[in-house]
Amino acid sequence: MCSRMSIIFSLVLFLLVTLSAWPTYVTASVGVSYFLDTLGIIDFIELRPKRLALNEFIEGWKSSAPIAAALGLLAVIDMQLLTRIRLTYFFAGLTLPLAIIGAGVFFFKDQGIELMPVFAITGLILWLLYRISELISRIERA
Amino acid sequence: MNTDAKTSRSMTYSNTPTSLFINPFIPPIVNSLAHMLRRTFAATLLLAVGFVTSNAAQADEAIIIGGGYDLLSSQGQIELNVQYARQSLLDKGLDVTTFFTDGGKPGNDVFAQHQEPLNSTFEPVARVFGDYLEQNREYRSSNLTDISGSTRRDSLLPELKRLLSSADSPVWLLYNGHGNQSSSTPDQVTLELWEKTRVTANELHGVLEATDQTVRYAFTQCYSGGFHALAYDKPVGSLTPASPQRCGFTAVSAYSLAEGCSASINTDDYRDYTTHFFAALTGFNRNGSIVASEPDTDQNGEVSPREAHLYSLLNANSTDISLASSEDFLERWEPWYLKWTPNVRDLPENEYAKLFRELALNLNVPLEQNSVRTIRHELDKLADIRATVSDKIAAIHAATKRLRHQIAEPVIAQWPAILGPYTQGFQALSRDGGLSTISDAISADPAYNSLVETQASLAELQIERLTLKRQTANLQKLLHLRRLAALRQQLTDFGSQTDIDTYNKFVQCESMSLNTESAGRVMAEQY
Repeated sequence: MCSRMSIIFSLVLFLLVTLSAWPTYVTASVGVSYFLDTLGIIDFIELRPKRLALNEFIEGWKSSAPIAAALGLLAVIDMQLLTRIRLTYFFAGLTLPLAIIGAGVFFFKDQGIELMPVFAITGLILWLLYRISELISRIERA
Repeated sequence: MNTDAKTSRSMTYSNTPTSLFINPFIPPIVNSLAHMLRRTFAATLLLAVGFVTSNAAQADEAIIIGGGYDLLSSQGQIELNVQYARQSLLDKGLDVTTFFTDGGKPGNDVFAQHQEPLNSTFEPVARVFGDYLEQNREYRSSNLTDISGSTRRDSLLPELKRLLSSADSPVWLLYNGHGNQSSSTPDQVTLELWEKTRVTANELHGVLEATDQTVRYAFTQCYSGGFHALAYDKPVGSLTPASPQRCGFTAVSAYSLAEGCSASINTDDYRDYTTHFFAALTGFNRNGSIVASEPDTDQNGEVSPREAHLYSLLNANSTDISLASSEDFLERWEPWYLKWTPNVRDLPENEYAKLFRELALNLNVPLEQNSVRTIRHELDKLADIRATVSDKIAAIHAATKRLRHQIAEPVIAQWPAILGPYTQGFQALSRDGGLSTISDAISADPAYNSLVETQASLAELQIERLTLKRQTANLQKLLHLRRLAALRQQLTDFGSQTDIDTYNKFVQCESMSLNTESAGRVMAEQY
C-alpha cells in the first residue's frame, strides 16, 4: 500500500514538475526582463498578434518537454533519496534549482551569469511546488 | 612577269579590307605570321564586342506590378509611386516591364484627391447630404505609358511566368498596391489585384519557380512581410534559402498595415516605403531635395538596396517598420529557448545597434541603461494621447451627424426629392436650379458654419492621429532595431555555421547593386 502510494506520488511529482517547468521559466523570464529593463519578451508579445505569441509559447512548451521531463525525473529521484532521512529532508528538492542554474549557465555561456536570476527563480518556484506536493503526500500517508 | 605577279598580288590584297596591313615586299612566312596575328586580333575584337553586346542585352530586369483592385482603391499615389520607381529603375539602366490596373485600356482606373478644395456651388449640399471630400476627387485614366498588361490575376500570372522563364539576368520584382492579411500562416497574405482578383505569397512562390535567375523583390503593401516566404525553398516552415537565391524588402511585417495608400497627389505627403527606398538609391527625395543623410554607409560610391533599406529604417517618418529578408531570417531562425529568454542589457556591437543609437538620437531618446523603459513610458504616453484623440474624433463624428441632421431636416421637408439622387424629382431639381437654391438655403442656416468647423476639426484630428501613429511607429522601430541587434548577436552565439552562412548569403544578396550588370561594368572600368 505504502509502496503503491509512493509510486503514485512520484508520478504526480514527475508530471507536476514536467508540465510546470516551461510556464515557470517563461513567467520568471518575463518578470526578470521587466525588472532588468530589457523587456524584449514583453515587446515581442505586444508588437505581434497575441495568437502568434500563444503559438510560440506552446511551441516552446513542446520543444522543452525533454528537458522538463529530465527535471521531473530528477525531482522524483531527489524525493526518493532525500526525503526519507531527517538530515537530508531539509535539503530535499534543492537539486532542482541547482541543476537549472548549472545547466543554464553552462548552456548560455556569457549570457548565463546575467540570466542567473531567471534560472534561480525558475528553480525556486519548482522547488516550492516540489515541497508542497511532498508535504501533501506526507499528510496523505499519515 | 614579276611586275605582273606583284601587281596581281597587290590587287588581290587590295580587294580585302585588311590589305593595308600586308606588305607585298615582306617574305611570305612573315606575311602569314602577320595574317595569323591579324585574325587572332580580329577574333579577339569580335569576342570583346560580342561580350559587351551580350552584357548590354543582359541588363537586370525589373517587373513592376501596381495599382488598386478597383477604381475606388486605385489611389493616385500608387500610380505616382509606380512612375517614380519605374523612372528610378530606368535611370539605373534596368529593363522595366510594368503591369498596372486594367493594362492601359480606355476608361478610368485611378483617382486623385486634390488638396485645395475646388470651388463648387454644391459644396453645402455635399457637406450635408454626401461626402464633401468626394467633390475634390478626380477620376481619370492612368497617365502611365508603356504598360505591358493588366494586373488581373488570369492575365498577370501567365505573363509573369513567361517573363521569368525567359529572363537571362537577375530580376527585380516590385509591387505597389494593396494587400490583405492571412488568418492562418503568413504565406497566405495576398496581393489584391485588378477586378478584385488576388494572389497569395504561396502562389507567387510557385510562379517564381519558373526562373533560374536570382530574384530580388520589394513589396510595399499592407501585410507585405508574408512575402518573405518567397526567399525560401518552401513557402512554409523552411529555413533553407531558395535556389537560385531570392531576397528582398517589405514595407511592414506580415501582421501590420502599411502607410502609403493615400489618394493625395501632394508629394510632401508621400511617406511610403517606395519613397524612402528609392530616394536613398537615387540620392534625391520625391520633391527633388537631397536625402537627409548619406545612405552609402560603406562609402563605395554606390548605394545598395540594403543600404537604401537601412536608410529607410533610420529616416522614414511613417507608420511602416520595414523588414529585409535577412531580418526576417533572423526572426524565423530564433530558437524557442531564446524567444522566451530576456535579452542582455547591454547592446551588442553590430549595425542594428548602431542604427538604434542613431535613431534614438534623432528621436531625442536618451541612451542610458534604462532607455528601453523610457521608450515604453513614451509609448504608453502616446497610447493615452491617441485614445484621447480617438475619443475626440468620436465626439466630433457625433456632433457632425447631429448638425447634418439639424440642417437637413427643414431642407428635406421643403425639397424631399433631394433624398433620391436618381429619381425624376431630383432631375427636375437639378434642371430647374433647385440645387443652387438648396445650397443657398443650407449656407444661410446658422448651423452650417458650425458644420464646416466641425468637419475641418475632424480632418485636423485625423491628421493628428496619423502623426501620433507615426511617432508610435518610430518608437516601436527603436524596440525593433534593439531586438534585431540582439538577434544578430544571438545568431553568432547560438547559431550553427549553416545558419550564419545563410544569413550572410541574404545580406550579400541584398547588398548586390540595384543593377548588377552596371555594377559589373563599373568594376571592369575600375580595374
